[in-house]
Parts: sequence; C-alpha cells; structure tokens
Amino acid sequence: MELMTLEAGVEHTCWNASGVKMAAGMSDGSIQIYEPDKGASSDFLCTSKWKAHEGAVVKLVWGPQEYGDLLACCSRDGTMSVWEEIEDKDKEDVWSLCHRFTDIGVPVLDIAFGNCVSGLKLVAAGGDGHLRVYEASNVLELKNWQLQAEFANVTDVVEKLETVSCTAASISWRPAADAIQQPVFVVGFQTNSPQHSIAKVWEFGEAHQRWHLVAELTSPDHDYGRINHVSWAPNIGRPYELIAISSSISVSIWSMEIPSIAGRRPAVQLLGYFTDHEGGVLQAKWDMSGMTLASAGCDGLVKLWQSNLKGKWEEKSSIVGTQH
Amino acid sequence: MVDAGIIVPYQGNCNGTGSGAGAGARHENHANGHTSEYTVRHGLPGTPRIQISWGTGNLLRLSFLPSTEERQEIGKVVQVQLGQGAGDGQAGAESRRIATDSFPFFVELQSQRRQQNNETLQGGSPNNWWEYVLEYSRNISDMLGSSERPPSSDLYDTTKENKTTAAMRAIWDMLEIFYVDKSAESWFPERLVDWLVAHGPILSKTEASLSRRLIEIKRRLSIRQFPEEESDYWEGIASALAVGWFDFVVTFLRMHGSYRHDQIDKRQTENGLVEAVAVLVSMMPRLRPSLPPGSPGVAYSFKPEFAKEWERWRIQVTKLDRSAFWNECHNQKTLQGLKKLLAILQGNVEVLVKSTYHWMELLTAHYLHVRPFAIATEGLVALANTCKEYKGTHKSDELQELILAVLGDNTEVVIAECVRLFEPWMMAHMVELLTAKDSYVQNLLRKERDVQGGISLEELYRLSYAQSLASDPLTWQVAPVYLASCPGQGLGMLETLLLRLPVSDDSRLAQKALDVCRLYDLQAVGTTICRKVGVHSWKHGRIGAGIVWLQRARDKRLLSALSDQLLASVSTGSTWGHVQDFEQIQGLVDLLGTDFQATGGLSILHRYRNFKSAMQNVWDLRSKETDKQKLSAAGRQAVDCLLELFKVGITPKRFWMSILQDSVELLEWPEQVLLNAQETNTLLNCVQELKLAKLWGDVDSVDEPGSNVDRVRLALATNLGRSFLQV
Repeated sequence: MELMTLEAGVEHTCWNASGVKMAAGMSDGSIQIYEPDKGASSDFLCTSKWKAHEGAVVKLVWGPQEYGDLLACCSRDGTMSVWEEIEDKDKEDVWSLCHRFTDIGVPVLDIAFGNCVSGLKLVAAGGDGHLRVYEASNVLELKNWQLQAEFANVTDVVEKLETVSCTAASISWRPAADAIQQPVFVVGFQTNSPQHSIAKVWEFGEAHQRWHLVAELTSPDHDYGRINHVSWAPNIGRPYELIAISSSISVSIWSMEIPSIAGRRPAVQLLGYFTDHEGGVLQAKWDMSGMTLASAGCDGLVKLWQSNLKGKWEEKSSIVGTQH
Repeated sequence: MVDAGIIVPYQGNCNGTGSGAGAGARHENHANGHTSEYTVRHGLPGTPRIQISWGTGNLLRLSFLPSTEERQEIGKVVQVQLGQGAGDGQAGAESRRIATDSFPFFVELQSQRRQQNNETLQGGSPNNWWEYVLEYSRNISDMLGSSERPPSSDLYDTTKENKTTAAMRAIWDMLEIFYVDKSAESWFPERLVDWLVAHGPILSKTEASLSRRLIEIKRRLSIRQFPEEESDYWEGIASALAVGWFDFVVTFLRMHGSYRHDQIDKRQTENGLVEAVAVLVSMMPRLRPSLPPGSPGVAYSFKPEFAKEWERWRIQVTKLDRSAFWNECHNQKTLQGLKKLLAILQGNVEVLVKSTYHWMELLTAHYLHVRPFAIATEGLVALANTCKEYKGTHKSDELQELILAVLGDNTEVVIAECVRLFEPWMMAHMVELLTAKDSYVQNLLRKERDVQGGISLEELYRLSYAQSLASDPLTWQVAPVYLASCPGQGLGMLETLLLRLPVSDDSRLAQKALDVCRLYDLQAVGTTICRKVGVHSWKHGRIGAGIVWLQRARDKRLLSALSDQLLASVSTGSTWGHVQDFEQIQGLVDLLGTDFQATGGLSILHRYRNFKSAMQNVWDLRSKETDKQKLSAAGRQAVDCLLELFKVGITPKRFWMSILQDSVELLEWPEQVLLNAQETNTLLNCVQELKLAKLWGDVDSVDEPGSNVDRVRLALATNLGRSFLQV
C-alpha cells in the first residue's frame, strides 16, 4: 500500500516508535513531518516543514516518546540540532528548536537517542572517529545539553592518537527491555583505518562512571568491508543478544552474550554471513520480536532473514520493487 | 527432523495470492517452497535507495528514494503487510473475524489445561485430555464455518466462500479425525465420508468438484421426464454411491421415469429393481454412532453387531444381483446403471475407480465399500498413494501433499506445510490438536530449543500469531491472550507491543493499554505509558491532563520539573507559554484536589498557592480596615504558609528571593511582630545560603538586583531586632 509521495530532495526518512509520524530530511537542510490525514485514515500528509540547517540533512532520529515529539538532526554543515513539537502562544502545534550543537568541530555522521535511567542521552558519531555522549540536564525542557563523555572508537593508546577520517557511521542502542534501557550501544564507522572500522559495543560503567569497550564484532574468517549500518535486535527473552551489520559486502548476524550479565568480555559469535545482495547492503533492521531481519541492498531488493530450527539463518522472502 | 522453513510467518496462502502488500503488490510462493516473493510498485526509475522501518507487528515500511543519479525525482513510501492475517479488504476482514471469534475457545482450553494439570498433580489421571481438545476442535471448526453446513440432502457448495478459510477448515477437520478423536479410530471410513461431504470442493482448484457436478446434474435432470436415458444420471448416482452420499442416491433413483404413474404398468419389473436397489441403499448398515436425521442407512456403533448386519446385507445385495428379474428389465440403460450400482455396493474396485474423480474420493469409496472394518492408519497412506496413482491425471498441489502427510501421520511435514500454506492463526491453534494424544508430537512441539532462544515451537507459533495480530489496530487487543500463554518470551513481546502503541495523543488507547498492564502486572510499562501521555499533553498545552497522567506515573522528577516551570511562570514573571497568571495555578491546584499533595514533586505548587492565598487575604482585610486582631491572625497564617515553603528540599533556591520579596510586608507588619527570632533566623539563613550558592556558581540560583536583596535583608534584620525587643 502506498503511504505517501515524497518531494524531490529527500535524503533520509525516519518513523517514530509508534509508527504514526514520519520525518524526512532534505538536501536543502529542511525537515518535513508527515502524519496521517485526519479525514482519510490511510493517507499521510506533510504537516510541517522548516529549515533546520544550511547543509543537507544526513540523519534524523526520533527521541523516546516519553519526552514528547522530539527529533534530532545532524547535517553536512557539521552541526546538530534537537527539535520538539510544542503548543505555542497561539495554541498552535509548532516545531521549536531546543538546542543547536555548533561547537563539535567535525562532521556528525550519525546520532542516536538513548533513554537511560539517568536521563536522556544523545550519542553522536563524529567524522574524527570519536563518539560524543550528551545528556539533557532537564527532563522537561530539553534546552540544555551537557557533554557527558567523548572517546575514540578504539582502546589502544597508539590508535587513539592516529588521525582518522570517517565518511559514514551508524549507532544502535541496545533496545529497552521492560521499558528501561541500559546504557549500551553498538557503533560502526566507515574509515581509512582498519582498527576503527570494526563494529564495537560500548557500555557505560556506573562504577567507574565512564564508557568502556565491551566487545568487538570481528571474525578471522569474514571481512565485512565498509560498514553501512548496524542494528541491535530487540530482545523479548532470548538469553543472548543479536546484532546485524550491513556493509559494502554483506549482511552479517552476530550473537553476543548479554553484557551486564556476562561480567567479563561477552562471547561474540558470527551466526550468519550473506553476500546475496549485489553491490552490498545499505541497511538491515529487526522486527519488533527480533526474530526477522529485513535487509535493503544496493540492488534495490529487500530480503527477509530468519533462523530455522537448527539455528541457521536463511533468506525467507524477498521484496522486489518495480517502476511499473 | 523438521525441515527448514518451519517458523516462517511470512508465507502465502494456498491460493497463491496474498493480501500482503495491498494495492499494486503481488505475493508469490516460490516453487522450491522455501522463499516467497513480494512485488511492490514504487514508480521510480533506476535502482532507488531503500530505507527500512518496521512498524508494529508484521508491517514493513519502505522508503524508496531516488538514486544518486536521479536526485530530481520524487520518492515513495510503501507499506508491506508481510504474511497474511490482518490487512485491508475481504481477506483482512475474514482474518479479523476468525481472530476475534476463536480466542475465547483458546482461553477456555488453556484454563482447562491448568485445571487438569492441578488435578494431575493431586493424583488425578489426565487420560481424557483429548476429549477437551475435541470439544475445542469442534468449536473452532464450527466457528470457521462448518456449522453452516446445510442439511445433507443438499450437497455442500463452498464455491462462494473464502477459499483460504475453507482449506483451513478442511485440514482442521482432518487433523481432528487423525490426531484428536480417539473414538473415530473405529469408524474412520464414515468420518472420511463426512469429511468429503464438507470439504470435497477444495480438493481440486480447476476442475469441477464432485459435489458441484452432482448439483448441476440434479438441476438439469429434475425437469426431465425420463432422466434415466441420460448417461449423466447413472454416472452421477454411481459417483454419489461410491463416496457414500446415499441421500443423493436415493433421491436420484426415485427420479427414475418408471416411478411415473403412466409408466408403472409397462415398466413394473424395472421399477421394482430400481426400488430394490434404493431400499438396499437405504438399509445399508453403517459403522458410526449415529446418522444425521433423514439420512439413509442404519447406524451401528458396536463393531461385531455391524459386522453381522453388514454380512447379512451383503448377502441381500448379492441375491439381488443374481436375481432372475434382470432378464425382464428391457431398458438397457437402467439395467446397466443398476448393475453398476450393485457392483459398487459389492466393492468392485474397477467400478469404484471409474465412478470416482479424485484420489481422495477413491480412497473414501475403497474404505466404505471394500474395507468397512478397517482401523485408522492401517496401511492408510500406502492405499492413498495407490489411489493417487490410479487418478494420476490429477495435478498434485500443496494442499493434497498436506492431506497425504496427515493421512501418513507425518507430523513434521504437516507442520512445515501448514506453516507454509496458512496464516499464523492456523499454527497457533492447531498445535493443540497435534499434541492432544501423541507423546512424540508433544515432545516435538513442547521441547524448549536453545537455538530458538530457549522456547518451544508451540510458543514460537503463538508469538508469530500474536505478532500478526499486533499489525492491526483492530486486533492488537487479542494478542495479550496468546502472549500470556507463552512462558518464555510472551511477556517480553507484550511489553514491546504495549510500548509501541501510539498512546501519546490518544488517552482512550492509553487507558486500554493500562488495563492490559494491570491484568498482566506490567507496572514499569504502565508507568512509561502514563509518562508518554503526560508529557505529550503537557507539551501540547493540556496542563491539567499532563499533571494527572504524570501523577499516575508517579514520576517525581518530572513533576518537580513541571512545577518548577509553572512556578517560574508566575513567581518570576517569566514568559513561559502556558500559564499567564496566578489564577490559573490556583484553579489547577483546586482541580487536582487533595491527592495532589501526596504525589510529591508538586507539593511546592500547593504550598505556594496557600501562601499566595493567605497574602491575598491579608491585603483584602487591610483594605477593609477590619479588626486588628483578625488582621494579625491572617498575617500569622501567611507566615505559617511562608515557613512551609522554606522547609528543607521543598522550594528550589531560584524561587527563594522572589518569595521573600513577597513576604517583606509580613516582616514589616506595623501592628506587631509576626515572626519570632527563630523563624526570622531561618529566613536569614536562607538568604545567606543563596548568597553562597551564587558565589559557588550554583546553576539553580538566579541573579537578583542588589537593591531587592538589600531590602529583604533589611526587613529581616529589622524584624529580628523587633522580635528581640518584644521578648
């Protein structure tokens, strides 16, 4: 079913958690919001549009709904902004700027909200291979953000000093269980440095009040090339976690012991490595149960992957898009 | 071992066209049976970039954005409903009907199981479990539509109804015969006859089914004077007799032209023979507990008695076959036709093969006329295969492979095929049938599997079904019923489902979700839902609703932040949007009632309201120049309210100074000293603390003009002096 037609120049689209609003980031730096037409249930209309940045929008991400309708946006102009929908003095719903991050100094490649017990966090992956974690100081007014931590996506001291340049990045938080999210995420960078190019899992240790590396998703037998996207599967009761990595070569599925339970470096295992998409994989995302993975390839196909009874992952369906 | 593909919820139905992707989309199963393909029309040239987003349940939203070379093109967003189940159109409506009608039976069976398990623990015997399942099976079968089966004189025509539902019901009823009903083992040939009456039409997709053919013959020949002259007449009767549709046979025979009054004299013998066959058919002993009212034949449920009667009846058939009256029958067509019927009654395999169209009909005919004493499963599948070879012209399809697997007790194939052919509804419900009496199948479906995240197949199918229910806003409320019966991951999925509901601006939906949370003891999720609605309401100008929902969430931190904002808007004259004046806060506090104080976080608002009201009272009394004592009492009351505000941890520092400024009038009370030394010292300490906070750069403090601070300090010092003097 066709939901909507998008204007020319859309760079990125993103649905909110309940799937009723979609945000589109444009090449001219503006943001559009699409919502269901109140009159006809199946049609979506553009209800808001505003210029958010001078440069093209790279990524858009919705905040947790406990904070209202909240959007974060990073742009090619090297800035990042947080927006929220509120009612203004004229009793109209408007999108208003909460905060603009202008002092990062490097391009921001991806951003992701984490709704942790300690508060709302926003992780930004910079073009310098660094991760910056910001925290909102007020739960209701999201105007003040403090830099909680900044660290390079490596642990080796020598590598920390290395100058890297990244062209893309992807962050995925470990999805919340029981409505509470642990401060753990996986990140992958597209970079010129091999050590920086590995997808890594970071966790915030309450004891030492710092982010530490939990796991590296690598396998000696399989090289996943340049990472395009990482996605952490929702876990509704599995004794292990699942993470999917989409790259210029493959889509791969990894299992990992649950970090906080393991108490040491959790064991990581490659469960599936598929090169079925010609030209690489742009994105792979998990369904609400974490049982099905949908991957979108450069070949214009979408493939659905599931595990069979022997635990082997395989393709179950594909979706072919046609012009006519 | 069960083959791959067993868990797939995203497969087609048996007629090959899914309602899946909606308008402009096609869904096909691949011949190899392991993958299926959806086709979506996006209308973009070249190879577009695709961005994926999963909705609730099995909804997949795909954004097709123009490729780098085609930047000027528009993009499209398409929604694909994977698998079957909820959706638009007729198929969606039928799925919803099935979903809402079937869950009460599922719930009842689960509660019976719990009860039985308790009794077993207490030493009872669970050996009659299959009877509960049988009742469940019949309820579901009726629900699927078989209760609408018309009286047996009219053969059932399912051409107009939903083919998927018809196929599901057919398989369901067959599973009941072979997996549930222990009593059916002794009379399963008759069960096959009943099954064929109800479900014959689904056997062949393209060719006319036997029942449709017979209806057509009946319609055409009933207006003829001498239908026996038509070869269709005899072929129709022979087919109906072969598969056991005796009511049809008797009705047809009595349409014979020799019954016409003007014919009797000339065709007396012929008529006698026709009637003799009709009577023999009407008297045929049948091994079954009972017959539908008006059906020909005599039912015997006790096998030895049936055997005796059947032998006796067979002798009569043979006797008629060898009778001399045949020589007096001059109508060759009648002679041949009746002889053919007798051959069928005597179990002549050659005639049976000729009189049936489908292998399933031949199989039924064989059991009915050749092996009426057979016990279920005894060489059944071998015979079915032989029948299939005889009727080799029929193209075998997936449904027939599934029927063969059921007949052959090949449970793994049954499961794999049902997963592939039907909606997740089928697997979630039919597991109960499969596991009713067979311990091997129980082990297969109930064993927890590490590779599936520690859950059993039974649970997996329920989760898949619940996920498909979650795709539709009209059926999500049924999903918790199934998730509650999943011990491993059910609650996890229920939490995910509830957290994805669009509750923010829909308080009715939020209330429904909260009811579910309460029922399944999901407190944390309930709190999150309240918080979502509260914050959304607050940010969209519905302040009262926002506070009420946040109170329900018992989120002290948010409530504090919220009261801060409210207070700032009136006490410091900030330009914050929603509340312009004190009256609004006053109204709000009154509206929220006494519970308001208990929640915490908001108590400052309550105290601030009391203080402001007391001050207002003082001003009112003073303007009226009333009794001084009364005025002082009002002043003292205001002081008490003021001191309440300055208790530890109540009011944030940034509001202190503005409140103290409001209280200068109390400190400079002309008639008497209202605050004693100790109380004044408390307030002086606060001023001191505020000064220190400012020195340390405390973020919570605000800059006040020096003159304001001085005025407060002076008032406090004067009051302290006066209080000493008064002592």
